[in-house]
Amino acid sequence: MTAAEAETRELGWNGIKLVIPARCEDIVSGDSHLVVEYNFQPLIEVRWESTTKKRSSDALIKEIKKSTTAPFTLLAPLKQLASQARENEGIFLKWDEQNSSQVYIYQCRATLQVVFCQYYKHPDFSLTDIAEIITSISFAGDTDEHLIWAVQDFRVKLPRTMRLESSHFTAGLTQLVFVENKTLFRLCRLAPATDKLRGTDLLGVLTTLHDEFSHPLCSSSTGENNANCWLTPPLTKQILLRLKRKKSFCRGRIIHDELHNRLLAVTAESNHPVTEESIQAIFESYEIIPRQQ
Amino acid sequence: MKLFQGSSKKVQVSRTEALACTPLVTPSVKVLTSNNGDLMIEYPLTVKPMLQAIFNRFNKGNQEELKRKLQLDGQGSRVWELIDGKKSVQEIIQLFAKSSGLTLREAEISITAFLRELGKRGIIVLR
Repeated sequence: MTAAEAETRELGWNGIKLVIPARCEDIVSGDSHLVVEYNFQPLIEVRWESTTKKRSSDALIKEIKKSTTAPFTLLAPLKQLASQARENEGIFLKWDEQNSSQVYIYQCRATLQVVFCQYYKHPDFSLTDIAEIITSISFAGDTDEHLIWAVQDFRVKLPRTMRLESSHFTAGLTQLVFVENKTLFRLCRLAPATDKLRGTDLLGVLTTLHDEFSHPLCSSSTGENNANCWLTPPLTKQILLRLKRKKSFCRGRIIHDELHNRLLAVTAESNHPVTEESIQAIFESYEIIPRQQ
Repeated sequence: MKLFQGSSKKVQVSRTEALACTPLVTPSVKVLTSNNGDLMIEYPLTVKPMLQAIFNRFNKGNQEELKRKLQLDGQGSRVWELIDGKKSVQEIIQLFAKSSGLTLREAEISITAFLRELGKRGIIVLR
């Protein structure tokens, strides 16, 4: 890792990728909304929306006027972003009622995503730092088969066919729920592992993440720093579960990353048998990236 | 476009302002230590005046203050010990994140929820 890489880290969320200073915190505020902050003060907010046709800067201004009554003033482009703004027909503006922030809106010419970057005055960062974040923004193209999901201290590369259903960020437990071919995948990251494993083992934690794993028909195996659980019920049980509108088959795996004191778990549930390979494939790229504190 | 729609115009304390506040324990609160080392907070129960009047009417001889207890877990106890009337919410979050190995954001979610709960019960006030 180079010194520059150590000072920055890559974020990936729902098709977007950007590089932020390593000391900054990332906050997922929605499926298409990320906030980057440092010392509890926002640095930049990025929102994006996919569109189907090209938009000029005039068209963007028209759309803003149509969708909000809040008065705004157009600004001259930031000199650090002037060439990018020219290329993408981006606009700079400031909402009249918000003095601390400015907005840069542009449309990514390659993917037609409209990007809304609201950047704030921050005592620890210059406009050049902010411009570097903005220029690092890129989107997955139509030909990309995988998307990177990298927030907090974890990173995973998932097939594009896996669609984000929901995400939950609570203290010590992050859950991302994806759907692919009617199979529900739940990716969990638990921290700190020492707290989560107090008075229980990996299998116990896995059971708390998915109730069905406590079923007597459930099989399990444990290895060094990992545990697996799977339920392949007989036909009568399958029918019963289907009547209860529950998925018949489920499989889960949890690993203990001792080095980083984290637990990573993936559970999958479906009406069809869930293969071990489908879980294993996720774990091949599911990892903890140590953070600079 | 949804992207440009403005947010509601409710006037609220901003997050930065809230995090800069200092939590203070109200004087009527007592802290007890349970056998396992976790803390238990005893605090006076605040009830609506009408309910208080009914209570007083039926307990004429008994002027004892209504009290409730709140048992804290290990993490709650650790946060409670950080509330000293000098540290701001922000400082408490930073210290807790460092000691618990959580990210700042996770610590913030956990601590703000905890402080909100204490505030609702009248155990702490924010200055």
